[in-house]
Order: sequence, then C-alpha cells, then structure tokens
Amino acid sequence: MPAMTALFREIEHTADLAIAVDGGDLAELFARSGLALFALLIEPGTVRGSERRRVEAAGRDAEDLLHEWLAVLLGDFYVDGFVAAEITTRVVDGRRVEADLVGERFDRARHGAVREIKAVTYHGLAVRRTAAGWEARVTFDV
Amino acid sequence: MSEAVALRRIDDVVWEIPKTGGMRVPGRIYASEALLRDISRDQCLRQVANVAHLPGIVGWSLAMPDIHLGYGFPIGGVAAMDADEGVISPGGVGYDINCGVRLVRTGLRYADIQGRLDRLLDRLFGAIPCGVGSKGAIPTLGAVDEKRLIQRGAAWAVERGFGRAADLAHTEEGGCLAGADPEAVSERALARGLTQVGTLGSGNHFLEIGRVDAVYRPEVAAALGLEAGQVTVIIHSGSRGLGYQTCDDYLRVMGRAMERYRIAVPDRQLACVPIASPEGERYVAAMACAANYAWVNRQVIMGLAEAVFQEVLGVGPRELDFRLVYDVCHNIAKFESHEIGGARRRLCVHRKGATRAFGPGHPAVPESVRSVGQPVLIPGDMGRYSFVLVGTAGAMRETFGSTCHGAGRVMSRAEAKRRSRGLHLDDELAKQGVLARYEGRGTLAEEMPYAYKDVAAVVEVMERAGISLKVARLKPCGVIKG
Repeated sequence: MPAMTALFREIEHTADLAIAVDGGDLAELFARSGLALFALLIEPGTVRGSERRRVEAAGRDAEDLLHEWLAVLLGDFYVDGFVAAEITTRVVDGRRVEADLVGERFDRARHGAVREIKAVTYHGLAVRRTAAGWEARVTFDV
Repeated sequence: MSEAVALRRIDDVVWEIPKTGGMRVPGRIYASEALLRDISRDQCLRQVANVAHLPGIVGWSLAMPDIHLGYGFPIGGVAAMDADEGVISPGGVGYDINCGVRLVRTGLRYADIQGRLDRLLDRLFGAIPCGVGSKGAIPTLGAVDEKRLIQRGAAWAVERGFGRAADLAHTEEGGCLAGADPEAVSERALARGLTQVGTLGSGNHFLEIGRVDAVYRPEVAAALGLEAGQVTVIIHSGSRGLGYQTCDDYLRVMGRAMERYRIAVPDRQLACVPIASPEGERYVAAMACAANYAWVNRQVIMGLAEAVFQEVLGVGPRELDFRLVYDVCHNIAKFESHEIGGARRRLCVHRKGATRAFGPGHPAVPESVRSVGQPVLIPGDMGRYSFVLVGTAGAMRETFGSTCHGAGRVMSRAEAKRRSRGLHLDDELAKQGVLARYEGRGTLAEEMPYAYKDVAAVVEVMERAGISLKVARLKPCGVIKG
C-alpha cells in the first residue's frame, strides 16, 4: 500500500489543481493516480474495504487512457459514491486498464469532503518515462 | 510559449494584440495598466492570440480585465464566430456550462435581518445542499423528469413551485435555451446530474446575503428595483456534474473529429469543429441541456432560499417581496445577431468567464428595464463587494454585447492555502462583517479575497471603456458555500 503522503505532488496552477504522480511501471502509475484522485476528494486513509469493484477503461494512447481512467473513477464517485482504499491495475498495450478496486460507499461523516472536482482536463496531461520509471501529470478542474 | 505577446496601446483601458502570423483577427484587451501587470504573469495573453487563429472568428479575440489562464481559451474571453463558417469549441464555454449568477432583491433592510443573520445562514445551509456528494433538493427526481427539465429549463422549476412565472422574463433566454436535446447528453452526464438538482456546488459557488451599500445611478437602480440599504441575495452556481461531464465528453469527441475537418490550431486544447457539422450540432444541443439544468438549479435554490427567509423572519411573500432582478450566464455560447461593418450577421458568441451586456432598446432585454439596458451582476470575491451594472450601446459596438464576469484569480490555490496558514478564516471574514457557513475543508483558504483581483478595479475598466455602467454596489454580510 503506497504511503499516502507521497502519493502525489502538487504543481502550481492559477485556477485549478495540477498534480504529478510517480510509478515504477504503468500498472503502478495508474493505480497510484487513481488513489491520488481519491486523496484529493476525501480525507486519505479513511476508506475501509468492504466492497470490491472491477473497473475498465480504454484510450487511444497512454495519456488518453489516463484521462479516461480517472474520468471513470470520478464519475463513479459522483454517481455511486464509490471510494477506493486499494487499487490493483493491469495495463494492456498502454491502451487498456483493467482494475480491481477495494473500497466502500462515500460517507461524509467518516470520509470528509475536501473539495469538488468537476472534471479531469487535458491540460498538461502527460504520461512519460523517467529515470525511476514513469511519471503522470494531470490537471483537475475544481 | 513563454515569449511575451506584443501589445499596442489603444487608450488607457484598451490594448491590442496586432494580427500576426496565423491570427485571423487582432486581439483586444480591456485592462488598466495595473491590471495588465497581473495579466502578463501567466500565459493568458498568448491564449487570446491563439483564439484569434480559429476559423470563422469575427472582429477580435476579446479579453476582459478579469482574464486569466484557462484551457485553450482564457477565462474572461469572448470569441464570436460566423454561425455558418465558424467553429464551436467547448473550451470557449467552459466545464461549468452556464455557470452564472442571479440577483434577488427583497423588501427588507439590514436592520430587519441583523439580529437573525446567524439563524438565517444556518437554515439556508441546512435547506440548500452544497458540497461534495450531497444529494439534490428534489429526491424523487427520476431519469424521465431529468430529461424533461433539461429541455424546459427554469419553467420546469416554476411549475413545481420554485419562484414565480415572472422570474422567467428576468432570466437570460427566459431560462431556456432552444434546441436542447437530451439524446446529445451522455449517460454518464445524466447520471452525474440526476442527484444534484438544487445543489449549490463547491469551489467558488455560493449563496450570499448582502445589502445595497452604494448607488451610482439612482434612476437606473430604481428601474431595477434596487435602493440603498436594501437586503439582497446572490446565487452563484452552474450546471453541476451534468455540465462538467458534457464538456469533458465533447472535448473528447472534438479532439478526435478535428483531424477529419483539417482544423489546425496552435494549441490542442482549442478542440473545435465547424458549427455546421454533426459534432458541432450535437454539442450545441447538449450545451443547451446543460444550460437549462443550471437555470433550473438557480431557480430551485432561489425558491428554497425564499422559503427560509419567510420561515426565519416570520414574514409573508408580500412583505418579503423576494424578486429576481436578473440572472446572467458567464460560461455559454449563444447564437446572436450583431452588426459588423455595417451588415447584420448571425454569430455564435462564446463567452467564457464573460457576461452578456446588451444595451438599451435591445429586444432581448426585459421590457421593464429595456430603456436602461440589460442588468449585469458581477460577483466579487467572498467577503468583498459585488456590483450591479447595465449594458450599453458601446458594448454592442465593441464587444458583441459583453462585459467582465467577476474578480478573476491572481494566485494559485496552493499559494492561497500557504498564505492562509495560521489565519482563522472565519475570523478574517468576520472582521469584514461577513458570517460564513461552508462545507469543504480545502476550499475556504483557496477562496480568500487576496487570491483574487479587486473586482472594483475590473468593473472600473469596463465603465471607463463605456462597455458597462455601474448601477449599485452590494456589500456581503453572510455567505454559504459548498
């Protein structure tokens, strides 16, 4: 389970919320990116794992995939109230994500409500190799 | 991207980005020298120049004094495209389609609410769902109802007892944009919107109780139903998850379709397609649905607020006299007729972080105020003042009948939070005589006044340019936020 405090770093942006996330490989990168999203929405470390979900997403390339993956998670949060404590992913061909999520339904009293995220934008969207593995950058409209 | 954009001074509040390279029209910026220093700190002027590259753009790529960096299009920009030859872009409208604001006047004076402001705010906070994950105000809303409300707009809410029929004439487009087609809205967008009808939202959305603390043009104020000392209510909210998702959906659609239409843009985020294309038409139909959702939302919230005022203050509707002055959009694309070079043309006017400001005599302005011009509401940052303006003939000539929308950020959210560490934010607001009730733990610090430009300076530029005229200033005394 990744350390929550090191899950992402914030990048300066005048109006919105931009983050960078690291991962050893694409699977870890996408898992950590998903957890970072929840860490922005609710208080990290408050989610219990009582429900399992399978989530899939597809994209034209790695960046498009990242956008779609996070958009699916965001949509499920707002529609079903699903919050994840653990995410295990498989990334296929750099264009498909198959993920197993362990989490529960949103409960404001336990999870808190830190902010609303309107959308995952395409601004500064990047998935690239680094010396240590991979880095993702994404900007959320808040 | 980091080189400075060349500017030419036209007068003390108007600047031009001369047409160069692939720009089809010049850029035109309304700003004082002081505001221009803020504006030059991020790349928004580059964005103004980029927008000028878009096919079918007419006149100028416009920038208001509250401009700042957006996605492709700056926030605080106006771009009008030829309706037949031009393109439409979701980035020129924004994620929060029809984010907008309405002003309600009452028959109350500050003394009538002063002793009960705490209770009013508590009850408003309880009655109006605000923040993350909150459920809507109409719990039995089903999918069929949702499709109906996004077609009918504010009238749907009036029929359910929120506000009154007379409010529709005091709302842009009568609270309903024609051409809305629920089939153009994705399942995910509909799902996000289903539980959020009547919710305020978070971030910079709010409901504010205030009072008229300055009147600049008494006759115009009187025509709008405003007078010094009067208690007012401002509601700032948009199309919630339905709108945000719709923008996201169509950015994706258009990002892919652009190649087929061979549209080359200097910035990929200027995703667009010809207005007269299947994708363009579908976006227009979906955008109209989202716009209508936002009008329903503001109508419902207004209705909920009125009921709270009556209950807490123990007054009936006649004494409360809770009446809508006007409701304006900040993020929208509208099909309008404008005169360019002596000829009338049908244009698609994108306003993202800009407000329509039609002048006196325009048929779209409600009859009761037509002689003075369209009312414009400019919310300031939390804790500081808001302004009521009217549009002018100058706006019709120079800005496609548009003016600024609000204060505009100058500081990132991260920096605002750092600056607010150690401050007791409730105390800071209370020092300014503003009581606050809010949900999101992260957002209050990010919304502090020092994160924003001074709205008075922004409004002053538009007054000096003759684009919109000051009518009244409103001082906040209580605010609820998500």
